[in-house]
Amino acid sequence: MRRELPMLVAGLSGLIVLLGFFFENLLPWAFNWSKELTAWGTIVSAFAMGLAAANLILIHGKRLTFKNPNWYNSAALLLSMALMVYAGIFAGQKSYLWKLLFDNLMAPLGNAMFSLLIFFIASASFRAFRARNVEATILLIAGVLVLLGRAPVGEMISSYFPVGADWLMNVPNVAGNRAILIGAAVGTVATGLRLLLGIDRSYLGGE
Amino acid sequence: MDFLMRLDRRWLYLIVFAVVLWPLVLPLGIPFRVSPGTMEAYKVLDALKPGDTVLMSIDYSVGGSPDIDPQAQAVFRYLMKKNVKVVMVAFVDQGVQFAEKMIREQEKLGKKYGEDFVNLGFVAGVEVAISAFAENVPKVFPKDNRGNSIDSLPIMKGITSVKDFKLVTEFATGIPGPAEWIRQVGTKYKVPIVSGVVTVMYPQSLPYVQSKQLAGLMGGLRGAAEFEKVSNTRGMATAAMDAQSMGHLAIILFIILGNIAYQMEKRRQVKK
Repeated sequence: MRRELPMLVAGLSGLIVLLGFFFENLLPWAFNWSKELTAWGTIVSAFAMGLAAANLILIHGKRLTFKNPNWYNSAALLLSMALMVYAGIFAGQKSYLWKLLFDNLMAPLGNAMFSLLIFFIASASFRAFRARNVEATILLIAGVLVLLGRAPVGEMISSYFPVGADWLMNVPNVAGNRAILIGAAVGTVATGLRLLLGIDRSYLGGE
Repeated sequence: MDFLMRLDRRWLYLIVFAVVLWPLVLPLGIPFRVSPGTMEAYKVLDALKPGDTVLMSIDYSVGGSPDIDPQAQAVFRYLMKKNVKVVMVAFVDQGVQFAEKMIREQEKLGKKYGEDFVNLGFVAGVEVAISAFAENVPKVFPKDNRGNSIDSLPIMKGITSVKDFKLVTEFATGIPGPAEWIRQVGTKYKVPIVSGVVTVMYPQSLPYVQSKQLAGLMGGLRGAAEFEKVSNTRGMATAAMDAQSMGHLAIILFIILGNIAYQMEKRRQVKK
């Protein structure tokens, strides 16, 4: 029963939402129930966020208590978490503390992490982006063409660069991505059916 | 060429740092064209009339914000210039802060919260939350981010579902992104969607423009600069274009140098 009941709830919920989507006028009860279930989804998601926070506190609390290696990282995490919670809930989003933490600390740190990417790309372009065989050479030429075509300096060098880059983006790229999208959509339908019919039970844990 | 093979990566970092910094200090003003996706987005936004209500979904976090935030800012500034009302929402937790920041700037310029714009806040659940929000806006957000009741805000009068918006604009660094909005809003409610995505998401989002499921698409900082140019609302993205150009050139130079070194090493090994 521990497995059957969750499977029944999941299967029924999925079926009602599906029926509500496709047969809005024919089955108004399914449509109304699907609306209700969707609203419940947001509540469950909010609980999941709370559960994730509790889990994080438990894991890092244990590391801190037993002085595991690098325990000071866990201490920093818990302290930062407590500070942000205090600033957001008690001090409020208009407070100086919140602005200091988000606008002057969190946002610049996030931006810095993003900006560091260019150094990794620069290093990788020198050491790894090599014309080792025909496929790698094609990839390299396409990459350089898109790099030049998407940057204003490429347009300044030659008007053919943006034309070439646009063609690469709009024809081979779109064809490939469309194939992936359609394949993924078919896969999603299959996975959905497996979940609804109780064949795929991975969401219950294990298996 | 031996020195190329043994080149310390810190030299590469220094070169990149210098070439990106140079145009930020001394702008070069390299002209650039506007891509079709951004032009389509601009046409849709330009067709809006004063008093129309638009939904802006700020679905990005601090990690990708340098690439996407300039887009959202440019679009929001343009909509304010046109006296279009904007309802902001976030399906990524940190999006609320970016929305609030944009709103605060406009408040300083005399625009009124609750009349010209509102920040509804964040709701968890990603795609399920988008679906619930699209179906019944006041049920998902009975209060806005500042704690005001939705019923007390003039901008929210007559807004019950996503159908009541003239247009949906969404800015994303991942999930939710264009695919989720098309699935839950575009297909079901037939509301036009203009999307702004980070550069890495741009190639995978292009099929939705060709299939007309997106009314317009802007890609990364370049998309923001293009929108600033076409809407005549110059901002930080235009200023950053020169730096991006120089960064691209440096990377191409490294690719060429790396390949020269690789080919020479290969020949030397064959000779041995």
